Amino acid sequence: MPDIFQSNSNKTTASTTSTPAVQNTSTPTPSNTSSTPAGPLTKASIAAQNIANMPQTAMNLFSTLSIKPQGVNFANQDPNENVILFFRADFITNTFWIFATIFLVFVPILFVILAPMVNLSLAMLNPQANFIILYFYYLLVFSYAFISFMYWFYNVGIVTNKHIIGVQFSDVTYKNISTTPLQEVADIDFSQQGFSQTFFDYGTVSVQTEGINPKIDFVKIPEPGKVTDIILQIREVLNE
Amino acid sequence: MIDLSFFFQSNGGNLILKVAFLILEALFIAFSIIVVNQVSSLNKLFFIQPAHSSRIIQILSIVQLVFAIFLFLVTLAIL
Repeated sequence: MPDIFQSNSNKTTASTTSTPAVQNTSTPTPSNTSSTPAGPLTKASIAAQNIANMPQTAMNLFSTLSIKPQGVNFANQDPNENVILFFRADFITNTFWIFATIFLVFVPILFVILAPMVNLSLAMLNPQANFIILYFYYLLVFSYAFISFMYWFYNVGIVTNKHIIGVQFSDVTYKNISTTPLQEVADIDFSQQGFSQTFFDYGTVSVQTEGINPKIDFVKIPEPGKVTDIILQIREVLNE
Repeated sequence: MIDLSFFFQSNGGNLILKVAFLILEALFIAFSIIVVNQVSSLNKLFFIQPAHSSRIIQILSIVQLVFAIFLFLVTLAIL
C-alpha cells in the first residue's frame, strides 16, 4: 500500500492548510520526496504526488467537501486506513426546506390575519384545544426542519485509501451503507444539469463498481469534477 | 361564518377531538423514537468532527421526543 496517503495525517489542520501545497508543487522531484516512488515520473507517481500535495481542509458542522479531513472516522475502519475525501450534498440544496420552515413558522399568524376574511375562526374550539393545536403544529414544523437537516447531514460519502463508502439515509426508516473497495471501481463519472447545479457547481458523481453494489451515486455534491478527479487519482495509485 | 361550535363544545365532539389528537400524538412519539434510534445508530457508524455536531443532533432528537411525550400528557390532562 503506498504510504502517500498517510503523509499528512498527523499534521495539524492549521498548519497544513497553509503550507504543504506550496512546498512541493513548484519542484516535482520524486527522488527527493519520501512519499513518491523513485524513478521516472509515471502516471501513478504523479497522481500520488498530487494527492500528497493536496491541502487539508478543516471540518465544521456545515462542511460539504473536505480533503484529508481531521477527525473523520467510521465503524470497521482499518488501522492503516486514512480518510482522504469527505463530502455531502452542497449546502445550497438546503434552501428549499429552510425557506419552507420560515414560511411555516408564520402560517399561524397569517391564519389569524386571513381567517376572518373567509369567515373562518378557531373560536369554536376551547382555548386548551387551540393551545394543543398550536403546540402540535410547531412540533411538526420543528420535526420537518430537523429531519430535513438530518437527511443532509447524514447523507455522506467517504473516500479512503482503500474504500469508497456511501451512506444514504432517507425517509427516516431507511438507511443504506455501501462500502466498495477502490480496486473494484470500474468507472466513475459526474453530471451537472440545470441552472442551479451549473451556477453553484454541484452535481452527481456516479461510481460504477464490479462488486455487489453495481452503482453508487453521490447526489448534489459540491465540485463533482474535483471529486471525480481525486478518486481517479487514488485509484491510479492503487492500481500501480 | 362556518359554525361548528355546537359540535366541538359538546361532550361527544370534545371526546372525538381528544381521541384524534391522542392517536396523532402517539404516532408522533413513535416517529420520534425512530428518529432517536436512527441518530444514535448513525453516530455510531461514523464520527465527524467537530464532536459537538453529532451530540447536538442527538440532543435535538431527544428534545423532540420529550416535547412529544409532554404534549401527549398535556392533551390527556387538559382536553
